[in-house]
Amino acid sequence: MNKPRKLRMIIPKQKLFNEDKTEEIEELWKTISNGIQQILVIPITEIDISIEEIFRSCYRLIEFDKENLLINRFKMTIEEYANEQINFFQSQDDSIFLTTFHEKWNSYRLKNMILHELFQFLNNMFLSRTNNNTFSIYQNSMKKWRSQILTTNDNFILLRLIRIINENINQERNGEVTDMSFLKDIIQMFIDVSDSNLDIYTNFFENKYLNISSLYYQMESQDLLLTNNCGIYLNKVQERLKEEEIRAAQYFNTQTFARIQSNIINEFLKPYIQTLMTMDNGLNSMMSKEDFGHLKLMYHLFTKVPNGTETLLQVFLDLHSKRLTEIIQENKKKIVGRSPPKFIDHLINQRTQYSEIIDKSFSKNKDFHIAINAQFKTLINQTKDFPEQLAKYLDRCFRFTFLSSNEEEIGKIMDSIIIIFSLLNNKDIFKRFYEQFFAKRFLSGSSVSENIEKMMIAKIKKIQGKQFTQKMETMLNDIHNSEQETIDFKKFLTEERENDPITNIVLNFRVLTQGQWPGLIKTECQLIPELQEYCDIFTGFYIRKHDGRVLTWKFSIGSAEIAYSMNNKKYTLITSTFQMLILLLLHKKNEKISIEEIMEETKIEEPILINCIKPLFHPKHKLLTRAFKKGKGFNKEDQLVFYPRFKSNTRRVMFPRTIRTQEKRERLKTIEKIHEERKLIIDATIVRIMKSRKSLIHNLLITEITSQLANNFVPSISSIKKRIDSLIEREYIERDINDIKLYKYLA
Amino acid sequence: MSNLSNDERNKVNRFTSITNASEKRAINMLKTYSWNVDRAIDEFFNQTDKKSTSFNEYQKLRKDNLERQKQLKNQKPKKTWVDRNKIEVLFNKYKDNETGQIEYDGVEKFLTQCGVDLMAVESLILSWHMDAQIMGAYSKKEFCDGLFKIKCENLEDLKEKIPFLKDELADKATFEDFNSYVFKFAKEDPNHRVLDNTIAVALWPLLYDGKFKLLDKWLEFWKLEENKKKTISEDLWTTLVEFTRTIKSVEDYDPMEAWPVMIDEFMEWLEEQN
Repeated sequence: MNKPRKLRMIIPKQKLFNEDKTEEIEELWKTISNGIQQILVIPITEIDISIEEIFRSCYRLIEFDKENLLINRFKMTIEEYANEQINFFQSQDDSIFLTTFHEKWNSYRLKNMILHELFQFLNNMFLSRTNNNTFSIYQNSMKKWRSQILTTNDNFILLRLIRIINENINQERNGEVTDMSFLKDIIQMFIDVSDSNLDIYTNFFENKYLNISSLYYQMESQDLLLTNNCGIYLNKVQERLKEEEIRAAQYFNTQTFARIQSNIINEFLKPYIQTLMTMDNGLNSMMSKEDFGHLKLMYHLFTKVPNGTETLLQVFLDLHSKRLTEIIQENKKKIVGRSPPKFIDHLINQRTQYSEIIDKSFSKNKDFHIAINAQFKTLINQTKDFPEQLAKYLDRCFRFTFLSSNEEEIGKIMDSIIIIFSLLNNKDIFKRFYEQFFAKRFLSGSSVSENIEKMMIAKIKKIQGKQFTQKMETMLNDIHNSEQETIDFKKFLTEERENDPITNIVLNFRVLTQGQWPGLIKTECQLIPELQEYCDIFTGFYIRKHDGRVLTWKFSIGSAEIAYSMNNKKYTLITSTFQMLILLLLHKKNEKISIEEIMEETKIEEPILINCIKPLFHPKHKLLTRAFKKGKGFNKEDQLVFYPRFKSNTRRVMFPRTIRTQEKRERLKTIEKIHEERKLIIDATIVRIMKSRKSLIHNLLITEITSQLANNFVPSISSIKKRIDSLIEREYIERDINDIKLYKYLA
Repeated sequence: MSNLSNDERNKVNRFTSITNASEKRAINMLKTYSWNVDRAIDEFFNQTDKKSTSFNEYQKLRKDNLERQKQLKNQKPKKTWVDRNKIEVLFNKYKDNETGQIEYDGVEKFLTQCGVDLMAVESLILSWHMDAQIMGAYSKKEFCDGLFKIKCENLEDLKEKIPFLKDELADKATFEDFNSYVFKFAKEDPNHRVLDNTIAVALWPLLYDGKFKLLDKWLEFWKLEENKKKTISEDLWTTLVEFTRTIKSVEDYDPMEAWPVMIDEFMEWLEEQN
């Protein structure tokens, strides 16, 4: 538009007229005026004027110093022309008005542009003469259009235009077909006639547009809320946003898009965030249906609302906590029993589900992950006996679940368990019970696979360090070595004791490292002579092989497989060593045997013996019965016999080692031991810290202790304080005389 | 005074002659102010004024102190020297001829004649100044040295001196010293590390009368069924002093601080009570 075009003109020399200038001037002007009129009125293609002549006339006028005249007359001409146009717009139908207006405006604009280009030289000339006014035909004509057409009569036409535009836009929103071809030009007109602050555009058009849009969307949102379907609502919002984006790109100024967008957010989303999430088809149902698409949309839209994601996180956390509490409540089974609580499964599923949602729909937002984990952590650490239950679940996995899973599934379950383990506060409880179950599995050979066990240990070792898994690795080693010993022993037997008739019994020996295996209580037990002889041979063999070692026999943890037949059915009974002895003795005796006799033969203490016998009486697979029924309790005189109506659905029949109450007692003992151990650990930690620091104030000491023990367990402040008190009493540390907060190390 | 240097002994004498304080008090004050006699004396007189008590209490204390200082001025000249023989005579009045010490009866008689109840804190104070090793008996050395230190020859001197000695306990360091002594004294057997509940409960009211806002609640707590069997360690006994000074109510208390566990439990119980 404002490209300065250089005109090369050849102006013949003219004689200067001194008198009668006015006539001449008018003549000159007439030429110019004609030219302008032609350009303005006639379609471009038909213009037939001599540009040269017009220019010449202009030049002459300027020579006469009639620039102002020229300019004023220019202005007037355009004004007149503009005035003429207004009559066209008076009483017309909206649509006709619109089209006419559009036409007129377009031609006005175009023609003025041409004029502007043509007479650009005037601008340049003026610039060279005066340094002030630059007369831009285009600017001037825009001003005229604005004042003569748009804003006269109290902005009559302007407002009319705006009204029509908004109506059309709303129609388009409603889905009706409308002709919007005029819109771009009209909007551009608003911009063109505005001053540097875009006043017409912003104050008149944009404001009105935004207001009407707000209203529209307000009503739409109300309607949509009634449908009570969050998904549909969000879809609509997204749709409208896209629509407005396109519309703005096509027609409006960039600032308008930002404004209309925030408009939509304010009307559609901001007031209804809570409502949307808590709707029937809201967040909860989307999550259970795994509607990742809609969840993603929700997240995406809510990020645009101030505090939107925070509110979403809040509701998300609420749902999470509710669901977790539900799971925990629902599955409060007794801790001592055969089947561990199913809720670990549920917890794992829950965790995976929520994690997935955050990854797939909430763009892996770290804050969400952190919040969910924190909540999960708090809840599981509040649940009673949780570390134990986790260990029990793991035991079940190793015994059964992993049997029917492929490698990938196993890996997944293990990883979930590891994650939950890392959130535990009381890892030492988990460790103890894991070790116990581990030992039991390996001693009874009921683990699915050694490799899988090794995998798990390796994973834990990675997080906790090798000291944590040391015991289990030793146990594994022992098992390995024992297998080797067994092979060597067999070789030894075949080589050196060919003639011994002990090959009827298959004995598996396990050599365990003292102190690394849990539950090795010393109990008195004497085997039947055949077995005893066998064991003695092994002892001899082993000691000769490993000089300097001492073997102590622990029959309490062994197990036995017995071939048994009753009523013409063959079974394999799986019992503990003690139980095996009882059955063998009964078998030898042939009919019945009293408990007292068993005690004499085996030297097993009465209460332990009775606890072994009781499981053999269990109605599910009653193996023994008493010869004379004598009431509930057992005592020494009771005579045991094989139960003639014994039956079982399975070939292999497993018998529990001991009764439930005994198991309960053992369990309580374990927990007690853990607490005792903790006291010692805290004591040692305090002394160690104080020894190196010499003196330390109370708060720092607590912090130091807590951080050093964090990997193991989380001690309560009161338990730490108790240990401090005890250490003061035992004169390991003392308080400073002047400041009771300061502790000093006593060498 | 036996483990002090010559210089220190002189300073103690100077201190006591001006302030009329007991030797124990003097030693404590001087220790606190690095053996600067003038400073110690200055602080001694300031102390009865500067206490973090309520305004009324403060006024009362100030009045008391001024009165006493007046009394002291009006008294006959302070004794700077006492006659050991007279003390010995006093001792012989009460001694048991078989053991050569003052036994329980003698102690009772002695205290009554001083105007002191056997079970009152003044009796403990006297024992403290004497460095008596067991309750209910004074050896000759303990009795004579003790009376010499507090500059009393006869019963009148004692009657006069005793309230003064009691006031000295207002000083922080002196009270702490006294407190530690009472613990040792009450234990009797130095091999024991803890004090019985019953003895502690009997002693606390004597020590903390008027100084410990929560005293009644504290005693109630220790008389509870679950606490009757518990023993009091030396650490608890000593930190209690600081506790009585700083904690007046539940709001002041922070369980995260270094208080011993029994104090934590007490505060918990106290909160439940409200």
